Amino acid sequence: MFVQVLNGLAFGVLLLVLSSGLALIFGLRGVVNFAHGAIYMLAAYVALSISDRTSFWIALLTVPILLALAGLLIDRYGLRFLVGRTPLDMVLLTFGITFVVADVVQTVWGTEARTIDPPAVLAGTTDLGFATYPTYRLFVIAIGLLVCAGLMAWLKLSRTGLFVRASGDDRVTAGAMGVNVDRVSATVVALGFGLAGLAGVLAGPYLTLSPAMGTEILITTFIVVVVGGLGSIGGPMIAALLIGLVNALATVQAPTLAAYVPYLLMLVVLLLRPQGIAGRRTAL
Amino acid sequence: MKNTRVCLGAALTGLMLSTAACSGGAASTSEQDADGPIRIAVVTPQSGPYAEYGAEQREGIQFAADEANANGGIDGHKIELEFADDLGTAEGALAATQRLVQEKNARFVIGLVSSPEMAAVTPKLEAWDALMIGTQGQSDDLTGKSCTSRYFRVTANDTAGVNTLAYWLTEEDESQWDSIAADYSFGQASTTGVEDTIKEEGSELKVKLFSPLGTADFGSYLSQLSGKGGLVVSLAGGDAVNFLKQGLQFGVLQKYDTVLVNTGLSAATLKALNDDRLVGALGTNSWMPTADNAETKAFVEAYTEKNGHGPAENVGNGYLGMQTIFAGIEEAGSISPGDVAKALEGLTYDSIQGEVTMRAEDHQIEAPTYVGTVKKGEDGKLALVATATIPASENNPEPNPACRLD
Repeated sequence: MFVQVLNGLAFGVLLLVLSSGLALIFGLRGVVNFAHGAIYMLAAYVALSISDRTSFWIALLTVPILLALAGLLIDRYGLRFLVGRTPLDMVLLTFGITFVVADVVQTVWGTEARTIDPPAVLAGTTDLGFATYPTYRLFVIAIGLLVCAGLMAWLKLSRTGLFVRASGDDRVTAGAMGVNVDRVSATVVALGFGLAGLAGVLAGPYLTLSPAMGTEILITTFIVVVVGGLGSIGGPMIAALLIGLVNALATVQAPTLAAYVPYLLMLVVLLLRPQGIAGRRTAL
Repeated sequence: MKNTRVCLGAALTGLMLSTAACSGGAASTSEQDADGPIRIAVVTPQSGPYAEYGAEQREGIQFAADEANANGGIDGHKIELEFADDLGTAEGALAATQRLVQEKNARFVIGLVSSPEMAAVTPKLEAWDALMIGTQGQSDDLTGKSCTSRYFRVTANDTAGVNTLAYWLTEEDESQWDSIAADYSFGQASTTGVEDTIKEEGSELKVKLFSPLGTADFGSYLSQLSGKGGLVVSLAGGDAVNFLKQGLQFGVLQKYDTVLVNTGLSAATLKALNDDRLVGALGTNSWMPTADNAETKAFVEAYTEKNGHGPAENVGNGYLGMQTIFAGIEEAGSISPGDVAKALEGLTYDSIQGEVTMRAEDHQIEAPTYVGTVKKGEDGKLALVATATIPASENNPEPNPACRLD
């Protein structure tokens, strides 16, 4: 039972890191970032190349930064010009990026499944008393929770965090009060891409790399954000862990239903609380 | 916000329409030139979870076409390949095949990977005056209750796969087994077959798990496995890689005396994992590059000389499919798909599997299947090395009675 909770936490934490990025970008730019899964996949592949040549630790540090830079560029030369246009233009841009990234990955790394070895110190299992559990998964849980705690603290306590929340609430008023909304948005998009990058690197030694990995997890991440509440950051965090845990437990207790669990959860939330666990009452 | 929803809906609907738009079923009107080239529609997934299988199929098909053209063609005809991406979906397969058959006049279809894709296309073949060779999908139904006069399969079906697996189940003396299988026809058929065989052997199937196709995290499944006796894995493609990798991380696979993988221990899987702890694992396959027969050896040698690396399993399957089209055309003395289909029924011909027969009753090939053990080669790479051959008379002795071809 405890092992299943750990299993749920490990996958939940991966969803947590991914969905925080997605929710951040939506909250501030109003963009449903279809490219989020592709960025996650790209990060995993870049991490594969870097850790093959140097070490996994260097990949863990550099890949999120590289992708945050990419996010900065996409915001500066893409999203910023589309503010005020129809949401479909945003969808076209982010959907387009998905196709481009998928083709680049297939051309550079090929279509076959690849794996990253965890660093030697995390490769074995750890005896927890009640069971032995892969050390790398414990590492993923710890890093994921730490990063999200840091993100929450940054949003709640820092000056930039205040600007982010203010711009998300009311872009125009925040701008009128002297907040440089474009700069805040760029920071948030970079952060979102960086978080997708982090999730990709963490997923490398945990799951298997394939060009389809981004699409597969993106659907679950969208469910997380819808269940958690569009426009909220804390809601998707709770929803990610909830979906991870419920999924792990359902796989054991009700295996035939397990595949439907995230969808059922979404259905229930949309019927009973359409704005999600912590969604805004008013439309953006 | 409301706008976002409306536009998202519109975007998704647009996507769905664009894939469905070209999947009508109009009959073909244009004729092929009887003296012209043999046009072959190579319909494979170029993206999605089966993209790697698609790439392997294309390599084998291309190699066969190049070889035939270099030798002056087949029955005096040059081979021309037309390619399309089926996106790994049934709708995509139908649209891509129809386009190549009707627009490019490529009446010989090959390369589709999964059974659901094939099942979407086979009912249309006769109306299009086309012929399809199945080089990978294993579903019994394709040569059973859904068989058609224009579909021929050159690889093992689910029953033959299970009968091959039975070799190891009876050979290995385990008092109990666990099983994990993909939750669709392949995994379900495999598990039922395994359970029956194990019962006959007087041992027991203790844990029986099914995972949905494309499962990313196998943690919850791994924690349910007992680690005692033997384990049968009926997963394919990325699922097999994922499961074996995570199983090694959890230390679960190492606990079993025997790990037996139905079809999934392919060259691509072993290359992706590249983990010495897999040495000694047992596997089965419809064809293996290490199979002990002269024709396989000659093919592997010629292929390696040209490409600098050996063929993966599905490269061989694609090549075998092309050999079947060629044998049918030579027998018929015609490139009309109808004539070739008639010629193929009951035809015995030479292939990389040695002498094989295309069974007339259900269009299922009668060919050997193989069992093997994972070994580390001199080059330091892992390979599933064939250790025994299961003859056609044992792996799939009876035509499927559910198949009515007329």
